[in-house]
Amino acid sequence: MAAVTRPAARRATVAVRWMVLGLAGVFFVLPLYAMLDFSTKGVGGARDLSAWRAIPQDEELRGAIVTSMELAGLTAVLMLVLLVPTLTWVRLRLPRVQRLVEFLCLLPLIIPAIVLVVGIAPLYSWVTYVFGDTPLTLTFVYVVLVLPYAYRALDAGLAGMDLKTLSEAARSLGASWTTVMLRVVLPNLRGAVLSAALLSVALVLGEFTLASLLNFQTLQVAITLTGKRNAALAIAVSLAALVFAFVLLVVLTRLVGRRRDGAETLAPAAPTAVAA
Amino acid sequence: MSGGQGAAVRLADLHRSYGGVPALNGLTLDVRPGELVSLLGPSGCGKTTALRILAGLETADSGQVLVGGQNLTSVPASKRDMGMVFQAYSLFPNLTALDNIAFGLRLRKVTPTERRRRAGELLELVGLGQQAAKYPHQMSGGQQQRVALARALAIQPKVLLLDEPLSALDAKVRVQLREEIRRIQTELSITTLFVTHDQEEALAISDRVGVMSQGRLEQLDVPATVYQRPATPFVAEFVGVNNALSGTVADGSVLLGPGRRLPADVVAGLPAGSAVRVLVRPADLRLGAAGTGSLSGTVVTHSFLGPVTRLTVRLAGDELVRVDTASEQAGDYPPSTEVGLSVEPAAAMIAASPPG
Repeated sequence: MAAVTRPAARRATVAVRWMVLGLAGVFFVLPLYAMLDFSTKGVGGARDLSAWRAIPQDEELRGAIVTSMELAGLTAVLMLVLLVPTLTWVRLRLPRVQRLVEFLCLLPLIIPAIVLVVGIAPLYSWVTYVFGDTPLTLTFVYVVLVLPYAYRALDAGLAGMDLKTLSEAARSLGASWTTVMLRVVLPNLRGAVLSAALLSVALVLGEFTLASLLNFQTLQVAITLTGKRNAALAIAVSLAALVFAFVLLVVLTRLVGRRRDGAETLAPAAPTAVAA
Repeated sequence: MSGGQGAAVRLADLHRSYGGVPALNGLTLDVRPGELVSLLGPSGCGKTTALRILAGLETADSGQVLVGGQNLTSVPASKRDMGMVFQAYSLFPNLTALDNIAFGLRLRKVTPTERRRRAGELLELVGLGQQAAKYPHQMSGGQQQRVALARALAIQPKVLLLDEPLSALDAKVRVQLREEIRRIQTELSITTLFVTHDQEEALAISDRVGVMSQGRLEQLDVPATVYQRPATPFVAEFVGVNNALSGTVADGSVLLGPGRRLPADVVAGLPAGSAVRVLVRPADLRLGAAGTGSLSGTVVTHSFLGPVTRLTVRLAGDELVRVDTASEQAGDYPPSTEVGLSVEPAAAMIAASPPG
């Protein structure tokens, strides 16, 4: 009896899975299709790529894209430089402050962006005085903003490896702490580092509130302004940004996957959703 | 690999406590160059702490660590030149077996060709010449520990430290690997400190065994002496299987109850009537027909251990004792058989006050 019902139940489960996947696909793809349709709609219903062609020609947009890309890169690097050694050190040497570090890293999740800006604005007058009035100073506040997501990815990666034994083994073989970080921790944290970096990039590319309130021209601010004069162009840029984040996600997943074929990575899988 | 890497090790009056609880309580230990010394003891006796202090992974509250006459007490772990194999699998997951072994050599700026040559040689030494390109997750636990051993040896350490490296392995692999460790250690004449809670392991491969309890060394001697002539009641009880029998001293023997007398030279000097506890190994009790020997009892169970069978015998006073007898003779004493037991007066090992 069980032998008869089991394949039927399995078929039903597979059908439900495909249905859920199909619905989710429609949910995500439909808006993207609408964006593509709108950004390529010409006069009289004909297809027109002028909005897409205008992206590299729009100086304001081009500048904003470069700024956002620089911000994304800087934020990811600074976040990793701050978080990886800190979390490693806390796990190895100060496990009792682990909860406190977690609480601090998760704080930006519960502080609304507007509150963050009100608090940070006076500080930024000093930041711009020291570093100049460049949008790249947003890196500092963006590092704070990405902390909760990056912390989760890195913490899960560190929890998945026997950090204590590996670092002690390396030290007994003659490795300094810097070598332990660069040759033992980082290579085995590769998946988590990539996940944290991708989340940071996606978050920075999609961030609008802080940049707008602090009067810096980033991609999202530029898209909003462009939307007021050329809606199709704004939609085309938004879609391009989304596709970029998606490609990043695919590249990351493939990188981690390839790594797994060769060596067991102890970090968590790449995130499945990207905020952009 | 060249031999003769041994350096003398001296741990001098080491003290270490965690939150007020002492882990090491004045441990002093001397290991001769090229010698394999095992630290044996129950969990929490301080053996791993001692090893970690020697490795530089922990700091002592007081005391000194000397290797080859050089004071290393405040030298960091990375500069001590000690190879260590851990209880947990400690191979770097992102590196192949060969690269794991070459890790320490790379840090010492050995040329890539030389690194490969030496790492390959060590892989052969631990019997894994064909596994060079495998990653840790592609190897069994025993193979991983072999590679870890090769990695520790690659840097030609002054001292090899083994922190229960066999405890995660199954029984058969454990025996194979411990024999390999001993073979390699003897071949290279490398001073080795081996921490274990498995007495069979310690007795089997060590030049000397140090039995630890409560942060101190109770006895440090060759395995046979530790087994046959334990220095303290703790060592006697911890090493080997023992029957503990309590009674009172009477005329050079221990009176277990009315008419039940256990001859024991070890109580000779004690005042008559004083309470004592003596230990007799199962192999030192001789089985005979009912009515023979100084004790009598009834066979309760049989445990076949290969060449010997261990019988549990309930004595007339309700004490349970274990008796080892040749397996081919064990059939003469099935359960419920009345038996007599005798013991050589010299076999009872240690006299101590009974607990409570």
